[in-house]
Amino acid sequence: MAKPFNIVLLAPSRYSLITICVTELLRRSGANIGGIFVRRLFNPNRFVSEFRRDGTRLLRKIWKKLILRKTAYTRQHHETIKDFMEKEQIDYSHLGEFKQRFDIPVHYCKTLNDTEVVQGLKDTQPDIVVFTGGGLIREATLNASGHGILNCHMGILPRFRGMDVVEWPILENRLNEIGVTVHFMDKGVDTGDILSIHKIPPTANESVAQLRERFEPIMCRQLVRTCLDFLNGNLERKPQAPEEGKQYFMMHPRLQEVAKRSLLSR
Amino acid sequence: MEKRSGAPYRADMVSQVNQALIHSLWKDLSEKEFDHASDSFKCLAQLEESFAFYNLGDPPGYSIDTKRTHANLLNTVTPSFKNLTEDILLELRLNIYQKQDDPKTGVWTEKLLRFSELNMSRLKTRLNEKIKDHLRIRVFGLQWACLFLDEHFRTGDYRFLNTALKMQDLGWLYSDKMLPNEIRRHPTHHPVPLLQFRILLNTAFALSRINQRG
Repeated sequence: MAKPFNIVLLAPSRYSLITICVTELLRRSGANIGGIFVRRLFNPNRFVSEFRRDGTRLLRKIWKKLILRKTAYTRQHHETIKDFMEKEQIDYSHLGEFKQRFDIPVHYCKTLNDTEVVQGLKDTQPDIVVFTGGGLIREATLNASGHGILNCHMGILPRFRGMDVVEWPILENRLNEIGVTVHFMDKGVDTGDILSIHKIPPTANESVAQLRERFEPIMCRQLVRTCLDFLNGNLERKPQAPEEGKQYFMMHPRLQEVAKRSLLSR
Repeated sequence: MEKRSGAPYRADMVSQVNQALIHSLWKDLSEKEFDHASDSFKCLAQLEESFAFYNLGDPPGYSIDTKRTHANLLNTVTPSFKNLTEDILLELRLNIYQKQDDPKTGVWTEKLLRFSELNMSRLKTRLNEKIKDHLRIRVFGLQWACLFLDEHFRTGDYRFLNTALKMQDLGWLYSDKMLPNEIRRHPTHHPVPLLQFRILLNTAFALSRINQRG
């Protein structure tokens, strides 16, 4: 019998619904979850640096992802991550339950680049690491991650790198270039080798918020499927050329409003 | 994985407010005597399209000093914030106005876009390290925002408009509420209100073009 794949996960917080779903789907696939490295929530430096980048958006993110969590999702025509969890019978409320139920090591860290994380990865010797959020990754963490660190980017690579890449194709009237890309992380911003691309065309009367909600369960499935396909030797890495795409930054509220209206008025 | 969200914004209403403001400001500005030939910042150069869009009459005529662009500063220094000077900012703008297809312009603007996005909250501090004079810092920052708007019109790349909008949110740099007072405060024309007027006009024009696109 073949040895199960040894997979480690990197998580932005213990309440991350995407991390919970991805971990559980990988566990059910028969993979050995070598550990989960989780960023600690109460870290003033993290708050300051994220507030500097995100501004007041951060407060809304905290409200939705850390306080409301599953209750932030109302019944919709599309599948939300809450529906996905119900359908797949994933009933964890936080990542600590993986330790309680299956003795999967859950390590809390200040950043995903801490020496403890790098040492933990070296000790675990994962085949691959799956990133589900938690900030920039430095070279030492990248180098200790087996085949590398997989990320599911909310945009089509290499064209749309960076932030708000659901809204940017809408603003640029490139609606057929909305979707997710599973790729390896490297030192650059979304410049690592591509494994799979999944286009998600917006449906009629769909708002940007609904479209983003629809992304989440798709990202979980796509990340797990791509990870296993790669480990089974069914997928090839496709390198990106730096000049192939553009790096996008956070969209100004004025342009966000234009993108929102543009999507609804199709 | 990435993040986002956004505040509600009534673009149609604001564009009407802008139109009234633009007309009133241009009335105040055009009442002053102004020798555009001596305007080394080319504050109101190359505004034909936006002037026509807002029915402001003929824009001020500028003669672009070709000798200055032929100095070709852009080829002598590596594109970076460290090497950025007022002359380079001006040369980049003049290159765009003269429709010179110089690949260096794109390399510079891309570098500056990235720098300003990553340093937006400490832009004043970073400029202060380079330029000690408060007024010159402001003129420098305003020219920078003007360059991004010009680059948006040249390339159609919305990222430059996006960053110019963020720069307009920096209270120390730009305020359309204070602009009428700034115009009146200076007995003769000064680059600070003129460059702000340029930014207001070009931003309103750029946003109107997107809204018209539908």
